[in-house]
Amino acid sequence: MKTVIRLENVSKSYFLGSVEVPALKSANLEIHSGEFTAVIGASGSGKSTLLNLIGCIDDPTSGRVWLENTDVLSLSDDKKSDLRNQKIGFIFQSFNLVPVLSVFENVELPLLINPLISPKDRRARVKEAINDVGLEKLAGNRPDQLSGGQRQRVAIARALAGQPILVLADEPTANLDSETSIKIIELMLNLNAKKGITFLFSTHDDRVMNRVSRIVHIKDGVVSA
Amino acid sequence: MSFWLLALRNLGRNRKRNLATGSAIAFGFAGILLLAGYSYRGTNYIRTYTVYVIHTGHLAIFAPNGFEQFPYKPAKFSLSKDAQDKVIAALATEPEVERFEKQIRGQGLVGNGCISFPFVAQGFDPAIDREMRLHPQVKEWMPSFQYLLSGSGLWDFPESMSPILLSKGLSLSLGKVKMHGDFPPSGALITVPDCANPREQAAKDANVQLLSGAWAGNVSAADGEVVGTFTTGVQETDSSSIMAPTSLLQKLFDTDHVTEIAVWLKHPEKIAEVRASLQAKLGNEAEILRWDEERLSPFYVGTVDFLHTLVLAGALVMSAIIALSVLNSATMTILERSQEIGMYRSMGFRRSQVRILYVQESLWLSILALGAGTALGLAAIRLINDAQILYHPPGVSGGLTLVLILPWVQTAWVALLILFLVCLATYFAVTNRLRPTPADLLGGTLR
Repeated sequence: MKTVIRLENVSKSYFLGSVEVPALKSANLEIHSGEFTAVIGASGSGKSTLLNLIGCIDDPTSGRVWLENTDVLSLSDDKKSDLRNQKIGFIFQSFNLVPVLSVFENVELPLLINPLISPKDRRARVKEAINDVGLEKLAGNRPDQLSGGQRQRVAIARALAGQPILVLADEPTANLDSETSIKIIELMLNLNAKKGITFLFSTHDDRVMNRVSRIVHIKDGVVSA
Repeated sequence: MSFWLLALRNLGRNRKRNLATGSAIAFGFAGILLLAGYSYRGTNYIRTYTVYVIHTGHLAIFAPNGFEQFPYKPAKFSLSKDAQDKVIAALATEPEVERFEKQIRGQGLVGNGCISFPFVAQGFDPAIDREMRLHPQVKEWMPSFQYLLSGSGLWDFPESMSPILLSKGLSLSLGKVKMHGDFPPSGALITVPDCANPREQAAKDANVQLLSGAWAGNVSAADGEVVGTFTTGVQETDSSSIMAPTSLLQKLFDTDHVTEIAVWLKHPEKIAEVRASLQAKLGNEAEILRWDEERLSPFYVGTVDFLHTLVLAGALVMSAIIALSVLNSATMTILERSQEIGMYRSMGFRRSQVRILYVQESLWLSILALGAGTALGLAAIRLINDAQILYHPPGVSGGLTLVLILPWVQTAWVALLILFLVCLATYFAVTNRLRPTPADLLGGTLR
């Protein structure tokens, strides 16, 4: 299988005043196309740091991050932005939808800045993504008119609309009740199965363990695949 | 959907703050409009008064050093007949010259047979004076200015009758409250008054006696027939001024010289080139002054400088308030929406694209607020103009009606300046917030 992401001896430290706090220690990891991978670890173990580095929204203290064949650290800030826009989809724990936009417009948002997509294709992709998450009847609604589960579906549709090679989600079900959480995981699984979309997400939910194709453990900043 | 639409909708997210910021812009801009309206009208009022009402013209042509030295040696520093002919010949070759007028100035005593008062006289062409009163600029900027307070203008009488106009203060001092036209067509019989009651006696005819030193050095006198009273519009001169045909004052001063030749132009904006052309033709034989030079029009220059300083200071203070309000509001908004900025960045928005988005929000807010400010300012101007408020600027005789007239072009530039300041303030606020990584903006995690 094609390697989507590769981490080589990646470390990340934060500073609390003058005190260095290591969050990730010499992590090596490969994620392959089509995988449905869960990152498991206790709170504060470094899951979010790992996902931030893979998503190119943070820079490692040392090591290298490869997205397909691109050395992410060699890119300028604008190129990294373009890379995120065209290759990576993000699903946020608190949805992060724009409250003044409709479902359709929220999903359309990341496509507005992609110069490779024509307006016609953009609308088609948005419709397809909304259909994939089953919200076609609510496309005109605003986020405050939706339930928590529906909002997360919008967030998933937004992540999918750009047809990324990788979708990252940090505890996507943390703000949802258990029934809705299961439905969201089922949805992600279906999309992975039907469309071959590569998912990498962090979770605490034990019920997810036996549904994923791969589990990555992380403890005190040390990754064990 | 577009960034512009998103930016517009985002204004609805923090209505109270946006309303406060928008109000600061709207009220600030309305204030600027009022100041600008006052300054614009005031400047044009005084310009029209200077150029047309008091016959300064756009250019004033004197004998060499005539402007400074004339009061001391009028015969030497005035324009002789030959010099006048040369100037008039030069003026005839200038297509931009609309009209010109020979003027003479001097002082002396004016009496009613019993009492005398000093006067300062300006002599001009009555026909030109009539044209000045009907000039479109005077009608536009000074429609309610009552130059003649009683009687008629000089133009209604033959110069052989020696008509004069008295300023209102002189008229009252001399008791000349009835004008030539108030008496029967045959005219009042001029009698030597009983000086025990001079004002009552003086009112029985319209005759005054003018006494002055002729320019040759001897004493000279002439009769004058009061045909009207006028106001100069300035307290300082309202009790001592006389207007008369140039020929009458030449007779009084026993000279064929004139003090100056005033020139009006068809297109005042070409004043510099006309002046240069005339100066080239006349060489050292004439001194040409512009109407807006301080030594020729000190009242205009002083008043307009004061007005412009006032407006500039007011506009700067208000612009600063607007810019700081926007900076404060934008900073608060951006701090509150850091996570959202992180979301945009993680989706692939470049820093510049996020900046554009927030600047567009501020632009929308400013455009809407400037629209509201314009409506507010125009309504206030309408109210003020309709109220016909009489006010008394220092030195102005009789007061002025407060009228505000908006200079649209200059106002548009101020609006553009405000938009620029708003964009700049937002740009700095958002640029500062865009420095951290998207992960930091999101709160260290993808939450």
